[in-house]
Amino acid sequence: MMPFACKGLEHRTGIPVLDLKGVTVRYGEITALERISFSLEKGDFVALVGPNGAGKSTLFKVMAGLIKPQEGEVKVYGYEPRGHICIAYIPQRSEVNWNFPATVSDVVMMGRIARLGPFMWPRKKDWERVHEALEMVGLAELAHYPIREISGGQQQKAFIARALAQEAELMLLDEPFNGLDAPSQEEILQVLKELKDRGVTIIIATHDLEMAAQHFNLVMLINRRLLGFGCPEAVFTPQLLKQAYGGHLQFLQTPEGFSIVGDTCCSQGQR
Amino acid sequence: MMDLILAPLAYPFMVRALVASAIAGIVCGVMGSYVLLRGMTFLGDALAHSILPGVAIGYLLGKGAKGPVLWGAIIAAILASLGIGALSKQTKLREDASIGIIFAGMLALGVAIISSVRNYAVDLAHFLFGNILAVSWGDLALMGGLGAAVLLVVAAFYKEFMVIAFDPILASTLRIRAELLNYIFLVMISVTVVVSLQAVGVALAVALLITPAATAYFLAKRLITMMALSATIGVVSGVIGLYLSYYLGMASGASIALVSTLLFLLAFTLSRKT
Repeated sequence: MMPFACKGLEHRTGIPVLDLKGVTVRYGEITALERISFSLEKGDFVALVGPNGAGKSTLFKVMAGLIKPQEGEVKVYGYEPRGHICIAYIPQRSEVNWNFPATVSDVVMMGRIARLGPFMWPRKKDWERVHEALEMVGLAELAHYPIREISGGQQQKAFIARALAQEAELMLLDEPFNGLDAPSQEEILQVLKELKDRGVTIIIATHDLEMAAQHFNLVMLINRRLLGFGCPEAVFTPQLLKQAYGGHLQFLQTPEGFSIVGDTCCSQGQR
Repeated sequence: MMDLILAPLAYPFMVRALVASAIAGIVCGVMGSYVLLRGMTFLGDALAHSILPGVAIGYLLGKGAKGPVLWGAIIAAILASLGIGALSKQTKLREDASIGIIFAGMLALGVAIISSVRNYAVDLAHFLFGNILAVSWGDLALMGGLGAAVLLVVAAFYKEFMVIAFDPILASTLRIRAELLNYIFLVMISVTVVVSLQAVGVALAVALLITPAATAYFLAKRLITMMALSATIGVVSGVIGLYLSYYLGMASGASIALVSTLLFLLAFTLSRKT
């Protein structure tokens, strides 16, 4: 696979894909993120975990260049994220106008519009890219269905296809598995793993610690501050989990490690 | 039957009125699709009403010429939208409250200006409900030019406006300049209202802006088809409405608005059955 060409900014090679230094974000009085620093290499596959209100969505918005942190800096391929169009941010499902009159392939084509100037309609090459993207996520047969008529899992796949059509090199997915059944979750994971093997850097926010431990080589645990970042065994220690979730997490110590029994994190309700 | 259709065409004012309502139908149909999908119906309605003081002042200064009326309308609409934006940003009022306040204030100002000027023969009802039978060739040329300008901007930024309406977050990650495009969009709405002013007036502008778009929404599964359908429905409403007004002696703006409402109800009923 050829490395993706990325319009917008040139990419410096030999430096981290994503580099955060001392990022702090406040909403008025409330500190959403505090001095977050880490860096990612090309092809890293990261699960971002933490209780509700830990700042996962805020962290995504900072990385995507949608909010500017009050302190610290974010670099994507060595530059500010705001100049890039190779970052795909797939927000939680509720943030999209799902009743919009568009077919699945129309939605995927939206990923390419930054590459087309004003007055330009998609060319043959663009439709080919859209088709490839749909094939990869297994939605080719539904290309001409209205987006409002397909299932939640299929919509999520359409959004991943859109990120592919965008030729994104950094994909940020906020709770992509919410409300999906186990087979859909499994299929989406497979697609994401294939993308990772192609060199796409992927970060996924999830509530499912079990899945994070099983399928990701890196996990990042946050609760406003970065509490742990590394392989699952190093991060999912009773001590760090307790620090992140307080008393809201129950887990069992087993001979092989531990398993989490329940994550009752959704009761705090702060931002 | 043929006679019924052809008889009104013997009058040049009817021909001009038909062309005018077709132009208004097309431009409103296309713009209305975006307005509907962005959930900006109330803002569209408010802007339509807010142009009234601008129209009135333009009419007075220009002694009835169309140029000053148009500029007055556009300036009033821009002031109204800036006012709404500033009010929602600087106070804790929700946007709909800001829209309501500015809208009522501007409308009242327009009515006050028009009603206090006794020395000029102008009918408030013409501004509120349209006066399509009085359209001149010069008006038609202006409407055509403005309509073409709006459609040209739509053609240029079709994709960008679509993404902003569907997924604003994608728009910002793709570095689309949404804020600038939103201002352009507001100007386009005001120009569209001016184009439809003589057909349906400020009070019924929504009948051509939103109702045909909503009808098309039931029937279309892509934005481009929705726009084409909505424009067609707008034209059909205008033409049928005019004929009804000719034969039944109804006010033309009202009959156009009624036809577009009936078409909506028809599409709604049909789409419920399938």
